Amino acid sequence: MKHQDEVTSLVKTLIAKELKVAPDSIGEDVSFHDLGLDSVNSLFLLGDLEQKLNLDIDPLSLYDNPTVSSFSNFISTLISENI
Amino acid sequence: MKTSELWKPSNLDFIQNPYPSYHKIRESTPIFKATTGDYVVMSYDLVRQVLHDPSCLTGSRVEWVNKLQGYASNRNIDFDATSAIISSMLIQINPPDHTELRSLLAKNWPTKDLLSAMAQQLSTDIAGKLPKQFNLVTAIAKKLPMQMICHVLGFPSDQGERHLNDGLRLVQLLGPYLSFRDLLQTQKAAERLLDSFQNFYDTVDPNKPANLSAKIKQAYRNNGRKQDEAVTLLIFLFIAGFETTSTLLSQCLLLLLNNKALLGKMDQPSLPAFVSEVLRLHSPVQITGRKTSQEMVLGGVHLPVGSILTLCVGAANRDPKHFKNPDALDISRDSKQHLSFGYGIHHCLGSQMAQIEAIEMLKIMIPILGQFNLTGPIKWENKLTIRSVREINVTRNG
Repeated sequence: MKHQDEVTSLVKTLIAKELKVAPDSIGEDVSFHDLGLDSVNSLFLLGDLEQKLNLDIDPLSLYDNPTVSSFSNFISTLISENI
Repeated sequence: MKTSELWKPSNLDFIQNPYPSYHKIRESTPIFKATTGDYVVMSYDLVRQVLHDPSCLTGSRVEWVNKLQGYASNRNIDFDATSAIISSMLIQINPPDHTELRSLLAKNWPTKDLLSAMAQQLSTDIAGKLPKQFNLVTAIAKKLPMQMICHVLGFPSDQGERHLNDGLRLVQLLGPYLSFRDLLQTQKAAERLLDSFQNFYDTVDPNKPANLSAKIKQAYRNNGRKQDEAVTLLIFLFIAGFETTSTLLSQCLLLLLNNKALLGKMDQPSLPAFVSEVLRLHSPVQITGRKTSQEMVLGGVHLPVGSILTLCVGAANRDPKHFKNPDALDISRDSKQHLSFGYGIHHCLGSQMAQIEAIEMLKIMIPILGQFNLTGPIKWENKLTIRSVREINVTRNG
């Protein structure tokens, strides 16, 4: 089972790849919108995450959980529900 | 609960029966800002106002797909076919190009009599070949519109059959709630369609205008328009010709299967009103979009330039301020004012054709529909934009 820390770190790595910045520079409580994610690159982010974690993720979950910390929490719950 | 939390356009439970949530939202506000940043419009008056306003433009889905195409090319993923097809969707094109294309199509569109005769013949053939157990959606509701549009275009029906699911993929692009996996499947569908229709277009003889495709080819040559845009226009017509109509046919049949008393009372003169009322109650297109080109105030909400508007047609059609007792099927009411075909310059070009197909199919099916019973739960597609049924399994008595 993946810990939330691992999920958080994976989410940060993937966002960093989208935005071409260092993972450490991404604030966990800053909204995705303020980080610079838009409706297109957030889809790529979800696509990568679905593939890496072998999950189906609701495309609107990023909007309902709009920060790294809330979204990682959401994904961790989704993983534990899927096991 | 906040209004925006009631709006769950990507949730299958919501999609299966969105109407109670629509009512709750509309009662609290006719327009609200969704978590996705767009303004969702729920009331009849406001939806119609936006559709009628020339400053509210279409085309934001094309812009979005083009942006997607740009980002994807950095990852070596190709969305070219997807982009080419959505760019040819008339519903995404603004004037003056829209005006020119629309008039070209209107001039060459088959007549009402021709369409009725065609629908009657095809419905008879389809009804005559129904097996004992089948899925109504694929055996009738998708089959008739697909064969109709193939006849109109001169595109071979056996090839059309192979693209039944591709059409749904592409039309879903008009909706904003897609996953990355959806997009990859859409691209595959787009490539298959482009391949088939390019090959077909090469065989079309513009000097023998026997069908709409030949007339379009001739017009594109005479106007000096790009030929590859004619190919994607044909793909758009193919998709537009069956995807939403099949939903209308499914809903008509489903309502009558679930209400045998109503089925018993149905006669030919009531069919047009019945079909119109089914369109109002179950709009195949539940949401459509516009973008503001200037600042405006809508329902008391200030909208900056470039705001994305999500117009909830399904909610507008059940607005109690416009339709009394809106959830009831009432064929005596004036339901023609529904917005299921849109309103204004983008009013559905195929609206007459869709209604003719529904009426002719029902004329053939109503006498035998009493022999059919549902054998399992209804299965829905998981998208709200074009809300469609996937499976209505039935069995035939005796």
